[in-house]
Amino acid sequence: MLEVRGISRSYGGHLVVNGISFTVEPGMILALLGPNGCGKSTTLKVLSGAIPPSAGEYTVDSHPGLSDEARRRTGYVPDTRGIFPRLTGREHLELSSRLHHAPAVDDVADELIERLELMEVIDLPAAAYSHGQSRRLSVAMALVSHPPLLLVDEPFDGVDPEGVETISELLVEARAAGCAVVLTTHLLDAAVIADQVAVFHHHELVGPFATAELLRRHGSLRQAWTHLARAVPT
Amino acid sequence: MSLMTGDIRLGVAHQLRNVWRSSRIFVVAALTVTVLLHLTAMITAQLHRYIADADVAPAVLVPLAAGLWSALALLPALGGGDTDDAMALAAAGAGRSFTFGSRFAATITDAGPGLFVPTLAIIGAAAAGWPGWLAGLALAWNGLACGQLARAGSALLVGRLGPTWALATVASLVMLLATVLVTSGLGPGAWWLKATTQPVYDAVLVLTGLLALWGSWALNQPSERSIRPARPVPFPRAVLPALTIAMATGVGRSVAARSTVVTAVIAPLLGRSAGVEVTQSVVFFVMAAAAAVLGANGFAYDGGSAVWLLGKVGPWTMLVARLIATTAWVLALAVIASLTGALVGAPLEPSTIPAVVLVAVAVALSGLYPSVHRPASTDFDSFRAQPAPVASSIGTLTRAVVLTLAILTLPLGAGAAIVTAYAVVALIHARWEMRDPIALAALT
Repeated sequence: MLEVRGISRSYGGHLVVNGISFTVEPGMILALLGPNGCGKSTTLKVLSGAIPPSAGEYTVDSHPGLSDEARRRTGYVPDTRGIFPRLTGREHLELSSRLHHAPAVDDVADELIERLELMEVIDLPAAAYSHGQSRRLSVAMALVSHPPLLLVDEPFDGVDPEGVETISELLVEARAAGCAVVLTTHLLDAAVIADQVAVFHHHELVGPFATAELLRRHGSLRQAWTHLARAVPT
Repeated sequence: MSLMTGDIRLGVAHQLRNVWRSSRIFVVAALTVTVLLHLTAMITAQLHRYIADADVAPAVLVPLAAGLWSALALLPALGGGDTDDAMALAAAGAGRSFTFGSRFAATITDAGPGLFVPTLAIIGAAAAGWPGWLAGLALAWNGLACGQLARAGSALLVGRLGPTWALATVASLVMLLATVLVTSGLGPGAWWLKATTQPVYDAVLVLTGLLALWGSWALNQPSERSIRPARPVPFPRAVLPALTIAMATGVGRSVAARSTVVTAVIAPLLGRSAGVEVTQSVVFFVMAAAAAVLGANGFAYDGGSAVWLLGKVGPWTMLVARLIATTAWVLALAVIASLTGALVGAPLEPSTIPAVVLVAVAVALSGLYPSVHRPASTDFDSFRAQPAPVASSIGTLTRAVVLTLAILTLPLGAGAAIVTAYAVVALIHARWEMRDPIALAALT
């Protein structure tokens, strides 16, 4: 579904992502881990088509990155408050489905609104939303049209424990429906839903490795992260 | 009491420091203009005896003085003088006094009111020498203070009436004050007239201004934004219309949009009631105001949503949708101003309509390139020419003015050719910038 070959990205001569390559098959979750500023969000911005790579290329369902076809097949949750302050939550979902060329999605939208507990605020302009509610809305916007590829950047940021559980369930259900998911998070406990884990180290990607194998060897993803960061020469 | 005044002082200092740090060039330019204007006022006052034959008498300038007073008394209610994020202020432990001081200083440092004050002084000096200069300053102080009162009253009413009716109510009250001026001798024009001849009225203006300030402080509400459910807008199936309607809806629900609608309605009425002959030019003034708001504040497609949009649609779709949404909004304002102008006896002639449409397109085009080259998070909830970067604001407004002048001075065909040529250049330039929109994608 997603094939990334040697992508690099720099900002004004400062290399943020250095020649990363990986593949995500349908029905698979890949978690990208790493410290702040290592290039996780930049990678997802590139893969969503928001900014072009400085080098390398990627395809989404065999369509070249940055093409309209690739964009339509990609659901994206940015790490920012990526919402329109004066549109209501329901309007966000409708707009997202229109931009994805999705058919009528009222039932899906209603289910997402209920599961993400947005019922009370769904008809209010998004400027009234708390940070956690904004994140939930962003997740709903990405899921509403059932895109085959999901890029989810820090979806648990500012979300309460129940919300974290719900979002995790939704991502797992998307995987079960054949969706390919790329997830970044600092919540290592939540990252265990991933089938594979890759760690950014000095702007390069180490991995991916099978999550089950990492857990078997190191006991936890935190231990695995520490081990991988030490194992790679700087 | 001392704690209260200390907090107000702190708020004023905070805002002045904010303005200085965020836009030094702008501040230096405003200060330079102010000093130059005052120097001109002094010289004009000195030369007054030589220009007496030109009929520059206080009575002639009453409508102008009253009009500027009403602008000072209205702009804060329309959203001028609001810079600090309410949540940030609350998180920093800012109390009512601090917020009041900060807002008051922001009103003075806003581009419009900041320039109205010396203008009033100049009018006074030109009409009545030094006493007139003092009277102008006293009237300006009074207007600024009443502006704070209008703002506090408006904030109080928003929760009960909703933002549009609150603005309309306050604007009507200020209008009423300003319009009982020339004929009845009770409005601000008459106050200024008396102050130019009897200095005791200077003191009255200053004291009533202080009372208004105290009243506004007493009414000053905690910084809460009143957000009500919005009537849902259906989006068409096609991508471009859906995105255009989303952008236009965002503008339409903003405080800035409501403020510009109120301005479009009252500007012709105000001019007419102040005794100034209203002409069709008011439509172009309204479009210039729209350019200031949309061009300078309408950057970046609602901040953090820009990165999501960049991942959803191609650059051309984003640019064209923004252009259509902005043009439509400016045209809507022009229609509102035209209708109000018609009500006060200055209907728009059919031959002028193409020029109005051209100006609307030109105004929308003016902000296109800066919106992707130097984007800033949109601030449609205030009427300020900030927070867009100074260079973007100046560039946008300069382009808008130059294009408008070209349309108004050249034959229609030539004007259309210039706007078309500029449209091609602006679109290609903006599209070139969108090859790698890192500035847009970095917005939060």
